[in-house]
Amino acid sequence: MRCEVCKKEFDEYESPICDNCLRKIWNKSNEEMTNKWVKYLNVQKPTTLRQKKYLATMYRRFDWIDDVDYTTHEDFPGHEINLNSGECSCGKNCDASSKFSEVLEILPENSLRTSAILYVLEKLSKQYKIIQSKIPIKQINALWHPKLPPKNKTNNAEEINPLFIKLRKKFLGEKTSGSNQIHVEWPHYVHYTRSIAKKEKTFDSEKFKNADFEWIVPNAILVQRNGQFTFVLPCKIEGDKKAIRLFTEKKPNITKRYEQLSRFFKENSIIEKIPELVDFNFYKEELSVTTKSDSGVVSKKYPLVEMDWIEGISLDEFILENFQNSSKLLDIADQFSEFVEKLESNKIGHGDLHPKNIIIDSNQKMKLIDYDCFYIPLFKGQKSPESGQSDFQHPSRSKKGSNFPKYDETIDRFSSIVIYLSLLIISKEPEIYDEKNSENILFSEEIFDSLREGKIPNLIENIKSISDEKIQILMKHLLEYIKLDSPQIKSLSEIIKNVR
Amino acid sequence: MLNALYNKRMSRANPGLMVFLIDCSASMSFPMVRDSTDPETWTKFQAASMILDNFLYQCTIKCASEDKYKDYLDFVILGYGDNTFSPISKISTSEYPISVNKLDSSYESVEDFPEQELDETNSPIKWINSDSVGGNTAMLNAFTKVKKIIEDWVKKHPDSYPPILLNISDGMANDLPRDDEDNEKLDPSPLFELCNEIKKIQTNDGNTVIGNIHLSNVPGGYAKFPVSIDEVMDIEDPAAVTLFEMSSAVPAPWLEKAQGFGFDIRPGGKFYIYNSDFDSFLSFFKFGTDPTNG
Repeated sequence: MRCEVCKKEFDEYESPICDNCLRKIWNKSNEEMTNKWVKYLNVQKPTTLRQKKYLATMYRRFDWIDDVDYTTHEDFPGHEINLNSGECSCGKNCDASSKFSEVLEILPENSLRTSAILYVLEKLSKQYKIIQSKIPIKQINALWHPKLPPKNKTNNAEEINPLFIKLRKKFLGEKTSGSNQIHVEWPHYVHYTRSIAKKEKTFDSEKFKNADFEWIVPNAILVQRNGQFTFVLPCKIEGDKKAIRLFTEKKPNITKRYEQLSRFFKENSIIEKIPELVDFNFYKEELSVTTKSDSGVVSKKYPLVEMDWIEGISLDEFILENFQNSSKLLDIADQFSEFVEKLESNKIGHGDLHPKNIIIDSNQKMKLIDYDCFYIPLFKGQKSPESGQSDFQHPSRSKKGSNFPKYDETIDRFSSIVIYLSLLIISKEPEIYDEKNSENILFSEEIFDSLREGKIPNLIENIKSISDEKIQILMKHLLEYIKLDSPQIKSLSEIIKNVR
Repeated sequence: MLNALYNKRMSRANPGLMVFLIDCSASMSFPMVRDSTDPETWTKFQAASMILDNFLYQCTIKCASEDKYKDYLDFVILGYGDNTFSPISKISTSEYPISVNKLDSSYESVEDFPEQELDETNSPIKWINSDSVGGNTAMLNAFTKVKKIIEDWVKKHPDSYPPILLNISDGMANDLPRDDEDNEKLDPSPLFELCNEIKKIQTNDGNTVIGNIHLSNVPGGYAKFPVSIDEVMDIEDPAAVTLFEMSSAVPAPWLEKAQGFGFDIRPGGKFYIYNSDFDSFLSFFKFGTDPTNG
């Protein structure tokens, strides 16, 4: 047979559409199901007579609508069919009973879902000239048994999906997004681990199929580093150590964001201009992962970000090791202030500056990782995907409904003052540094909150007594900004330009 | 200022302690009552080891960070049959409590992930030795051993979240003395005293919590989080009352989140389910181990 949709030969069923395309259509319809269906699809109830009639209507073009008395129906004069068994009073396997028995074979546990796919197929039939009654029930039933994997794996998701969406829009008047969507569970660590354990089958590209991942327990526990809505796996690809970032939450536009970001970095030679940033590659549909959905188990391709692995320690660990080494801290502070200045002058921003995202390599050079919140001019007017690590952000940023700060190249101004100031303070007065509190360096959300309540924590008192002009002027600005809901924050370089 | 109890976050500096006692008596190899529509049957011991293996797996992956585990949790896992033993064959009883790190090298086997849904019963790593079942129900012996371990642990971790002990059983302790008046019966009072002593062991964040989950032989006839002993008095099985007496009341700060696990617990309700089916067992287990999710 030749599939009407992908035009490829297949031999699974006597059907106008191959298993693979049917699955794609179904998965797609699951994901973007119309409001017409979603209300009912989650309700697991025994099939009612009315639903059976409806299925019959859908599948075999019976004209059995609700209130019509089939015994007097023109199609089957004199026949009385038992709608539970499909048997006919005429005692023979008559046309009406055989058609109805077929309908009963369509999984009775959830006829609504079956109705839904028949409905979708009906709409598609015009485009593809599929006669839905030609699709064997066996094949439709197979959709409910996800244990059977799609046979011939093809990569024509691209061809079919946009067309399908267009069709659905046209026929169903469907909106592309809605709150009533069928839920497909976004994969988390365990799902990804399972996929990576079978990397030869689950990755698309050869380089990942052959990558060496670091396992703590082979095929069961991967070495990982946690992020806010991502986690990072170290691995070796073609001899080089890389970091693979996977997403553990569905974020709107994340795919588009990373594509645009990647293109922007390359087109504008960002890495050459700002060597503290690390080049990365974004793969839109690379790793196939199986998760639960409302309609059973679904395999989908998920994106990943590949980056060079930066050997080194995070800024908080660096400070913990070197808090009594004033010159090392000042060197890092200088690199940091230059870095944020370069970001802003290139009209871009990191969006989530905090010590775990700042890596100091063995040459004491600074590298920045985690670009989930990265700002580039293309994102102007959008919202930041995350509010950033709250111990380093202005308290308004995590407030719901707050429009502060604007998501633009000034996004790092507050966090850069906090980090830079902390480095200066520790280099000047290492006694103020609390080794037990090393992850926050010095300040914290708690301190910001109590300052907003008008309290003066001990730490602030101690800082105020340091005689250093730069520290005091930064501190003065920081205190001012914290008290306001949406302050006009000056850039680090502007605050310190006339101070030596 | 008085701080709220059961409030401490488990961390490397102040780890938590989870104690699991698993009845490994012969009757644990009988089938577990599951949802009647589900054709798959497990023995009670299989159910317990699947749930426990998955918990251990979740703990290890949570701490799996760059070649070393972040040890935020210590474990004690003891089985009791004719005596008390470690159901993880690579760890001896005297090694407990162990940290997450130790789990890394002590599993029995690694199996392939299941193809289908991943839920709270799948773990590719099996720690619990499936040959552990057989013999009597030496529960008194197990609680005696565990009391010492908890006491020692609390001395080292005075600021930690209080230890949580979950006892998974399907019957009556039988390493008890005979009742003075009725020689046919066993006298559970040593077990009560022991449990009361364990409940008194405390950190600055509260007292040790003892939870009992009794697994079902026959469907129906639950007692869930009973408040008064009257609620279990009529059950013929002497284990029903014994386990009631042994259990702690559910700590007040836990009551709020109980609903999220499908439980409606009255204030003062015991941390105890009698005659639990599989689903309630799983929910009870998740509820009891929830503080480790900090």
